[in-house]
Amino acid sequence: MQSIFFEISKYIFIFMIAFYTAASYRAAVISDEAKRKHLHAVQITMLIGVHFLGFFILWLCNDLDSRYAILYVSELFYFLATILFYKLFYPKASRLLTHNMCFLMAVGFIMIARIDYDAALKQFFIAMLGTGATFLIPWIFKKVKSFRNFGLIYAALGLLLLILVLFSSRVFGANLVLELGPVSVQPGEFVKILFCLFIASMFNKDTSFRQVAKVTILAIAHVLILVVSKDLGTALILFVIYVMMIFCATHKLTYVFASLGAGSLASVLAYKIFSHVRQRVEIFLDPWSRIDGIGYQICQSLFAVGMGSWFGMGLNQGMPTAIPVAYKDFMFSCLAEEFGVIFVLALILICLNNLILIMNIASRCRTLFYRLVAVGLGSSYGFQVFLTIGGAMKMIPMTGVTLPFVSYGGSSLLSSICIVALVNGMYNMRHEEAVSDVEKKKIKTEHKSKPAR
Amino acid sequence: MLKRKKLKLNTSRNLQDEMEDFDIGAKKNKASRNRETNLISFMFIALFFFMCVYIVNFSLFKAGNIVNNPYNKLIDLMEAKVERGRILSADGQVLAQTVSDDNGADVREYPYASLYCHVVGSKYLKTGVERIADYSLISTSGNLLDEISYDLSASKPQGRDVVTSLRPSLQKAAYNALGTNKGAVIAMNPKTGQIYCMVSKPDYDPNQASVMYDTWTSYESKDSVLINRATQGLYSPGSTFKILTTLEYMRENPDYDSFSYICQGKASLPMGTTIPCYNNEVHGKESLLDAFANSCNSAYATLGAGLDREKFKKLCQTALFNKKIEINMDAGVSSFTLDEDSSISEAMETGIGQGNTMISPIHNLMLISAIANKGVMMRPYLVTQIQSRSGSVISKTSPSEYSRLCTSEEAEKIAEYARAVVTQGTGYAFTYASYDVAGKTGTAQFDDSSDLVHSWFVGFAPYEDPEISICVVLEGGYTGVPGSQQVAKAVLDAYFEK
Repeated sequence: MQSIFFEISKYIFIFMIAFYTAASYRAAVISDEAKRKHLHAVQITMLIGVHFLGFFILWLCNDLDSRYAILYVSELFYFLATILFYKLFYPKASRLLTHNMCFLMAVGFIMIARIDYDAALKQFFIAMLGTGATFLIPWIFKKVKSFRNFGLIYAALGLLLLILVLFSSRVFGANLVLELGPVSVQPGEFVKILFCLFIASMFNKDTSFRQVAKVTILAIAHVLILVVSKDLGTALILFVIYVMMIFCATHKLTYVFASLGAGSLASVLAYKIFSHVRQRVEIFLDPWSRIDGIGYQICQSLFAVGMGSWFGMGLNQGMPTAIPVAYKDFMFSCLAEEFGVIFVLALILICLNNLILIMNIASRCRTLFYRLVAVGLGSSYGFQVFLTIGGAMKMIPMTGVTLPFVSYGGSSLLSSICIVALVNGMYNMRHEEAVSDVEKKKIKTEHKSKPAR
Repeated sequence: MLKRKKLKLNTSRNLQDEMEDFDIGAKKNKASRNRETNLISFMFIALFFFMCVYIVNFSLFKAGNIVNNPYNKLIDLMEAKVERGRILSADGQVLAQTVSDDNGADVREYPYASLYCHVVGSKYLKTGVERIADYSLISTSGNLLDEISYDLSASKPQGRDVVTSLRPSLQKAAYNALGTNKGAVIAMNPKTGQIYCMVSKPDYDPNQASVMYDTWTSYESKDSVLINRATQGLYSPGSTFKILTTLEYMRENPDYDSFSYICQGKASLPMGTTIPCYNNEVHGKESLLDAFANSCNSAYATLGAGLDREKFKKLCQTALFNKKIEINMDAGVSSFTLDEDSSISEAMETGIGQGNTMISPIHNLMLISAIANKGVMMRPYLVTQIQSRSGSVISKTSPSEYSRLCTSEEAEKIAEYARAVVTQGTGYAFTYASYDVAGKTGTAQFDDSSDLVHSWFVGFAPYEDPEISICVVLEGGYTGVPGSQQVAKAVLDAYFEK
């Protein structure tokens, strides 16, 4: 009887995430307020449904262990509180973005709890802490206008953090981690945000060639330190942030092509100079002949996705622990294995939905600073999703970055929550940002004239 | 809606001072700035879309092959949930199936016991078709609705059936002809690469695999019964290698038709060694065709020593020496080591297929098949079709080209020589056969201290329009048969009897 339930649950999960995804896309374009409210309700229902079903199965599979029930109830309260507080205090913040964040976290919580209960507990605490700590960000972002004046300070702070990591990893052999007493932080995750703020402030002042040159030199310093400290994922993300922001600030494609050219040249050089870069490429080109060595991880990841097939093996029915450090860099493969490919495709669409929401506010911001911050954060988020999923699928070489909100990892989760808080801060300001009702109307009529509606 | 408007009114008041601080461009600039964010959005949408397509493509076309890997521990997990499918011969005979024993436990049964032991393999040992089609055998029908209904009924779904190209009549003929000797027989269709039979001796009973495994692999058991000699065995190619020596000679000497050599029963070169002809036979005056047909060691040792070693090495690399052969079976890596630094003796020995050269029977079969197939080497395969238990086809393997060994003119020339082997040379077993065979015999010394030799035969038939190619190797010390060509004849007889 139980096994039938497990089998049916696979399809229920897929149904729920599909319904959720459809609702988030529909809600992103719909203008009818009542219908949108209905869609939001659908989303919350699906979120609660997926979260409940996941933990119910885990509870059943772990001999009705009450720890899972307690964790479930606390997480449920956390989700509802997050959604409610954002709605109450920031009525103009993007509800979709908040919902998506909670949904992705819910999926992550389930998978992490399935692999390691203690890790799930830790992840949950960090989520609570992070949401609490960042709750004021939208308010501060709105009140304090001087964020745009500290360009060089952001850069200095970011570089300092990176140098500290490089130093600690060289001296203590730690892996991209700073040990601060009992907690360990991965500064790379936060440098992404500082980097966005830095470039946005610099270009907000002016976009002359001199300024571009200044930004470029500092950006190269960031990337170089990251490559030397073997954090290729973050290095690439910073590069993409830089390219996207310079394009958005200067409107000049010449800068884009120049930096892409320089980027390719730099990657060739990095390949020649650094053995760890070469190793990543070698694994990517042929993991199979190194399956019992350095290629093991990616092969296991492909097995997981392949075995999961369309509908997955069912929650708790697979073997995600076969992939080393599965719940960090290979969360995507774990999900594909147990929930199936259809489920993870929907998950990708939800991530894309987030990206569209961030870019949407970017295009609506009239202030260059905010627009650039949004573009930077959006590019960072989108490219990180691409890097981790592409890496897990052997589409591109592995870079060892996490799937935002879903993967296990305190720093990753914290910085992702921070990004959403910043973006919601901009959504919260959007009416101040919108200039006149005339223009607003124009946008609306444009909306209505779309044939799809 | 009303609320929102009110909100807007409230906020429009402080809009003015916001403007000064906030606004940078005038209205016309807005559109242009939007263009950038839109462009970036579209780029990411395209990137994500590409990612989704990649994943769908992976699941549809690649996953099946990839997950079929002994390192994949998930297969064992799935094994328990599915009734493993059957392995069938080309004409539908069951070569392996899963049945319930007296206690209701699943047992893998091999009705023909040792007859197909290496090629079909054993589930327990994860060898043969049991390994290469592992994932298909435990995959269910593939039909979405079927899958759901199996899931819902909570009964063990049936795995897919795997149809092979194996022909029982040829398999039996090869198995019987090998007798108690150690060796291997493989035959395939040179135009498609479909394998008709594959026998390796000594053999074992796969039904006993789980009980006997330790005995078979123990140090005392020197027979290595588990090794599939047809694919994994590596032997000195002996005179069968003269096919490649000839090909290289033809390329370096376009006037090879005027080649002439007077064989005095042995050849010795300055700085080199002395190589005798088989049984010290004196062949007299020979053209290249005669030398090939007579398998004249004297002529080939002399000719081999004169070849351009770099070019010869390159040809052998094209012929898949020194690399892993990319077929869906465990093939041994053949080796060819002659280069500029080698001694003249080694060059002479290499020319007649001795020296350090080693080859696996499947590789030798692929070479002769390429000669039969106008120079095009087809990829050998065993699994022709995957179907559901009810017989509906799920996937078919289509023939694929592996590489091109030589031009069709060169292939035709060598085929002509190989035909002469049968009509006037060493291939006497086929003189009175009802079909025309072309081929090459070989005897390979493998141990300087003994007179024992491996006996080879590679060939194809009919000569005019080849349907089947075959490779036989008998390990030194064989008894009961005069040589490999008689084993090959038994299989070809069975084929043309049909």
